Amino acid sequence: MIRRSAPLAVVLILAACTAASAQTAERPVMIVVGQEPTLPIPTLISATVNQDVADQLFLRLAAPGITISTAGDGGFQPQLAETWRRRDSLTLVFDLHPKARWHDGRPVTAQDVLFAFGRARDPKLAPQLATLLSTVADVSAESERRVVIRFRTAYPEQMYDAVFHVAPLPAHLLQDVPPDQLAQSAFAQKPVGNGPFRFVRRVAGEFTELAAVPDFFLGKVGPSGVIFRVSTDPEARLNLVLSGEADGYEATVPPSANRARVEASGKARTVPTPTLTVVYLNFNQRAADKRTPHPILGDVRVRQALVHALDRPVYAKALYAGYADVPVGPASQMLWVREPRAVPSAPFDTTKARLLLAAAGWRDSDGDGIVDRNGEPLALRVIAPSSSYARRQIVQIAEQQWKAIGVQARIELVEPSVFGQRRREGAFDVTADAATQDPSPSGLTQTWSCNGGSNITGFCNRQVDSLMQVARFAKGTSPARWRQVLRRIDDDAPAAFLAAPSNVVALSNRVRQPVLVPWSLWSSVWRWGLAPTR
Amino acid sequence: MPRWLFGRLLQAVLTLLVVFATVFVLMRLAPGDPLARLSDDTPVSAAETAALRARYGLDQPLPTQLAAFATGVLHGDLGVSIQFGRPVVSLVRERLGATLLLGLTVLVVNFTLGLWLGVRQALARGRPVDRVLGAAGAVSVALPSFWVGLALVWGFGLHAPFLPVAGLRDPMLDTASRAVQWVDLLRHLVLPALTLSLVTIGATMRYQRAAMLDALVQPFVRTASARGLTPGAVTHHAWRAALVPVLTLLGLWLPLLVTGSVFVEAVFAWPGLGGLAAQAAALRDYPLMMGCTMLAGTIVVLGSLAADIACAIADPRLRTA
Amino acid sequence: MSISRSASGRLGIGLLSVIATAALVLPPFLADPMAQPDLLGAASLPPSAAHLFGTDGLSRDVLARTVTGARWSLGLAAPAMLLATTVGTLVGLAAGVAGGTVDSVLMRLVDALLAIPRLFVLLLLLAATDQLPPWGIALVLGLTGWFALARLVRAEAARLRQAEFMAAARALGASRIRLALRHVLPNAAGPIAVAATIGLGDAMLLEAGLSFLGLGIQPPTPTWGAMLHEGRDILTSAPWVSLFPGLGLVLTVLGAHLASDALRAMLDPRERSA
Repeated sequence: MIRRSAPLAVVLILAACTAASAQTAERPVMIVVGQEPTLPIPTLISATVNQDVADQLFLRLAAPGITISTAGDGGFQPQLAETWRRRDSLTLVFDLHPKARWHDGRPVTAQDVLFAFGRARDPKLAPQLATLLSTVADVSAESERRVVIRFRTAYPEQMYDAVFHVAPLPAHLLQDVPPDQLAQSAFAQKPVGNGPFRFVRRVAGEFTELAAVPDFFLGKVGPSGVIFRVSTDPEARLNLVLSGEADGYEATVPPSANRARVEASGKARTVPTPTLTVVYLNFNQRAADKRTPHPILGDVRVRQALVHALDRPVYAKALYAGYADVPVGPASQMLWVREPRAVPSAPFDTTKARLLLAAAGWRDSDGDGIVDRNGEPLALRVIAPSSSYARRQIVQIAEQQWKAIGVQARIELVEPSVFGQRRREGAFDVTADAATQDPSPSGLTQTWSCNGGSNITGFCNRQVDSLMQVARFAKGTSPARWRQVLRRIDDDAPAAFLAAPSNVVALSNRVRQPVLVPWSLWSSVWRWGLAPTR
Repeated sequence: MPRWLFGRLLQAVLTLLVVFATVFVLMRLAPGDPLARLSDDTPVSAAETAALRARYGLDQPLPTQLAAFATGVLHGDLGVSIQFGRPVVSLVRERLGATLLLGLTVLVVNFTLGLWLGVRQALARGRPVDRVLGAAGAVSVALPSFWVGLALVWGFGLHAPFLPVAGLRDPMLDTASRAVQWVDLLRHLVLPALTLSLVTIGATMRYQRAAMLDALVQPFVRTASARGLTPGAVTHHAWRAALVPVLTLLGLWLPLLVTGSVFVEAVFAWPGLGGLAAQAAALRDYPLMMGCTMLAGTIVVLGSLAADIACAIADPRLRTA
Repeated sequence: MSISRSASGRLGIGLLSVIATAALVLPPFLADPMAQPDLLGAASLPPSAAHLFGTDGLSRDVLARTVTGARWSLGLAAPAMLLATTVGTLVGLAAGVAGGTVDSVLMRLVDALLAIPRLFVLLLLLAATDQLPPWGIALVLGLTGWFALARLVRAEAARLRQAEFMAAARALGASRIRLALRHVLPNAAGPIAVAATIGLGDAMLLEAGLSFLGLGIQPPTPTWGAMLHEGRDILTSAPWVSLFPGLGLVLTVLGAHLASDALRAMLDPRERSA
């Protein structure tokens, strides 16, 4: 019995092993994300996860280097553009790679670049992109593969603005789709790109599957595909990493304990990478009518007092396992103009905080532990999205630290979409924000200039505005002027800038020495080498 | 049609109408604007908002909206979800499978294991077996489903990772063979079903025990026993008599099928109707919430009707109009 | 049989009393449930002599939070239960004593309301009214919990309506209201009490569930459901944060059920002799 079935058993086992190893060697890279990428289409992107997927599908003309110093023409890697040169101080010329193709086989032409720019520069279609591209005067095609981009003024970030914000779209497929229908079109459900991976399918609520493009013009694609696996529960996401199923997971902390768990699992390791994120408590400087100043937070002394009352290094250590800095102004770790070891304007000092409050007229006159003025207690409505673990903890820590100086904070955790609505309406006193910055410091104008499109608190400091204008168009690549801007913002305390965190990225052990591009973590996946696992 | 049956059906229809109207009124009375809560992914202009408002009929007066919805329901159209932009019917249909799977599994466990334990308890009345099972049953009813779920997630996630702790299936296996997919589905079903069963079995046991005890003191049982039937046969007869109250219990368990226990679905990320309803409520997605609640209400009413009719068929004394 | 019944009843009442007393009396002797003494050194500590139930992710003492949580959970469930009992009794009495159309209409309404899953209605009401204050939560819990009791009371009232002494009282000119209050209510008191105790347990579980979903009381207030909601993110690294509030819930609800069982046993002659 045994003798007869032994050869069969051996054959079966071998077959199983081969199948298994063949399967694991061919197993696509799995990236775990917390939100579903429903719209990874250039010019329509707002959520980060959509950008991650879009970066696999759609190439840019050129990609910034790893450190993403946005000033100057150097450091960029060719993508769709094979070469480029500067014609004069206002003009850049790009020659597209002859072998660049869309996934349906058609070549990438200058028309595609023009088409995408046309959509992106239209303020009605893409208001935020249009603002970022307002310095572009003209985009034209000189031949089938030559694009000329002309700017209105000379400034150091022309190359960055020309290539980073807009990824070309297939004109031949989208010409007849009206712009306001793009989001609902068939193309949006099944995008056709030109990148190292092509779109296969999206299973709603579960995953998005991409497959490698066989003759990718920039080089051989290592993995057979990429799967963006969606899981809304943080523990479930971590479990996928701990079991070795997931190859990449962007943010293992917070909670801080997760880092040790990943390292201890033996299936994955952690790699800290800088991010474009900065976390802060934003103070509403406008009253409910949106015209008059906020009765409490309109006074700079109160705002400064609130910042002095917070022990900010604690947030970095308690929540991010130490992988975060306390920034001066809104400066993420990857904002190249930031000053690495600068000291924030309002260090932890509860005495100073109380003095500032008293100077602004807030004293505890009735002995209830809350300071008041004219019979009104200093009470603040603090809102945060219930989906963010970090911000839930942050507002609770802040509530206690503010209680110590007599400020009463009432926390309201709301659904993410309600959070967005409240922010837009100004229905808050303090909001816990985690902003993903533009790599270019000129992106600061969106939030921190008087008329910025993302300015929800009514922060308006004319000096900061003029400093930003000067810094944006000054010649040379020195960060000094922008550092002045950051310092001035920090002094005015429009927000309590708590942390500029790193991403503690978890990578499975089968991923060999990957290059991680911090501003788009997974954009280099196509170059990853994978070890076959047993 | 017999008079009593007609009466029951009429009552059911009336109840359904009241359910429908109540839910509609509740939703519309809620303050706030559902369109203001659309996802940030697709920024919406003022013109688009007005168009959406017209599309969902939110700019019409209340009676018009009610009439429109009623007409739609009769055509099998429950409206379009504001959040997902897809018909409510298709969203509900997607989730119905998972809900039914979980609910039916728990129902089967309750109506086999639960009933058997209840009978065991009744037969061993007063003895240690009865006490122990009684205590276990009492604890079972007091257990919060989400806490039990968390405990199982902790236990199995940490110590016995062979049972998945989230989701309906492994999406990576959808190109694998049918058999592999079924095994995967069953593996995912274990923990949610175990959780729901643990918190519901106590009630079933207690109910069955009481019904069995009632039946056991019936005159016919003593007669049968006196006439020399084996204890097994006597038990069997008693159990048949205890069945009627249990059929009523079936009608009560049907809401479970539909709501699929919102909490268990939240803990295990089980894609059922309960989770959909929770999401819809939070986002004030009127059509979706209406659809889920209408479905829940309808199943409950139909279930009670079915249980009522079954009981009436079994026991003619219950056939009053 | 009756001995063991009352033993479990005693256990039930005992549990409820212990928990209620602890909730009322202990907090001044325990740590501040909101204080975060040492975010860096004392977060997520397992149970020890210093912290009997351990600390949570923000270094808050879990024992203090659990006991305060008892206050909140009971403090929300009890008024809700009282409201539900009152409304249910009134509606049931009105329907049962009035009879006729009033009875039919009211009971149809109650049947329809019973058909809608209570949790769905709560989800609706909580989501519709952003940031409900605690009394609002107790209010909606109470307003959604009286349906079954109304049916029960109505059944009792309808049954008694047929009784002879009722006819006699009516013949003597007693008003409907007097009949309801003086004759029906005392007879229905038993089932009402039983239903009320179970209702307490249900209300606690529902409130905890809603807080677990993130819809109930806001942090940093430590209701048991909210603690379970927070403990979920650190379930594997700090399971004690989720263990104790859940245990508190189980014991309290168990106590309520056992007590109601004992009440039922006392009131129902069949059970007593069985």
